[in-house]
Amino acid sequence: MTHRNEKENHNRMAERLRGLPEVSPPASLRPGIMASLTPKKPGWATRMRRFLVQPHTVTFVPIKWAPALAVLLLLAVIPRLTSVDNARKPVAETVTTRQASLTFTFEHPHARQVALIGTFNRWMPDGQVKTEKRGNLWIFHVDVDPGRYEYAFLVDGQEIVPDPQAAFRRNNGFGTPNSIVYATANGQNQI
Amino acid sequence: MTDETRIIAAVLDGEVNAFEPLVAKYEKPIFNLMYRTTGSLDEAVELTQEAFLKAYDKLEQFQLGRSFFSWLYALAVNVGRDYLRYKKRHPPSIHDNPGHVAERTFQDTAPEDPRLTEEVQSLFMALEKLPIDYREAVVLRYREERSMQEIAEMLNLSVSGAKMRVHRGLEKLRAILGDDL
Repeated sequence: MTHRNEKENHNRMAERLRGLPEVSPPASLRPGIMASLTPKKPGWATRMRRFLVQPHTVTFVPIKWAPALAVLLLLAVIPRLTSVDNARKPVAETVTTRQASLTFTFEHPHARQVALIGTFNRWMPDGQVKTEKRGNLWIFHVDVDPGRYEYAFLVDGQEIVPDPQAAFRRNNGFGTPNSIVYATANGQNQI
Repeated sequence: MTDETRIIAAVLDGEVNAFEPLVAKYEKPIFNLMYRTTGSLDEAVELTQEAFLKAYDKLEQFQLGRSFFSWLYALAVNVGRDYLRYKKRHPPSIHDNPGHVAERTFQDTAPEDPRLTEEVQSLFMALEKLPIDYREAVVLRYREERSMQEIAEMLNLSVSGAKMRVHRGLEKLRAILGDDL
């Protein structure tokens, strides 16, 4: 076959292919396809964008919201109740753990009045110290925070006398020594 | 952004009806592809449906900015290829559908001019004998007048592979038609 014949054949073939009739699809094809499709679920980014961009209508039916409101109310009240309980607990613990009860005794045969003074009451006789007298024996009770305290007895409002039973003393610079007590939470009041 | 890209974005956003313009635009070429593949109108309808449903399902895989038709066509050719493979493994038995009315075939839809009918019919029958890849290569080149680049995309080939496929397809077609050419 010559080159010319080949080209003619090629052209004839192309012409025949170009004339190949097209068949129209039936009218029911497209509706059939569309009916089989289900909407795609958009990604989270698209859903978020839509939520932010599109307006929303909110309806309020009180009875429907009642359970939710009740839950909210409970959530609001419960923390307050528990915080009140928590606030109370430290106070009680403070009383039991922070305070130490000290007892002192002092014997003086002639004294009309004896007071306990010290760093716990700024060296001033006051109602913080409970005093009782049994014959010549003066007994003092005072509640203090745990710690180190200096103290002495004030006899008849004039004479300052150190505690003869104290294990520790310190010179106060005025010529008389101060007694020293170490108060601890477990009730021991002297060293 | 092209209209088709906008349509596809809308479909991916969940607007199912946005897909309809794409079906309207491409149902005819895909239907004809399936008709050439099966030689039966009924089977062509089924395979066209299957191709569009598959395209819809796989739309997330479509790369926006590329030619949707090329992508759809490549997918439809694969549907046709799978169908032919299935038919080869499961040839129809005479016992299947004993009361089945004969399917509508190409002859039922051919133009009325008897001379044209004969010529067209011989070409159609010759095309039917070609393997699907060769047949579509020559149809896309000469019937649809597509560029080699487009044919390469539609048949998942390189451009040189598409040229080779068209050339060999034409040779095979000529050999089948022989004197009828």
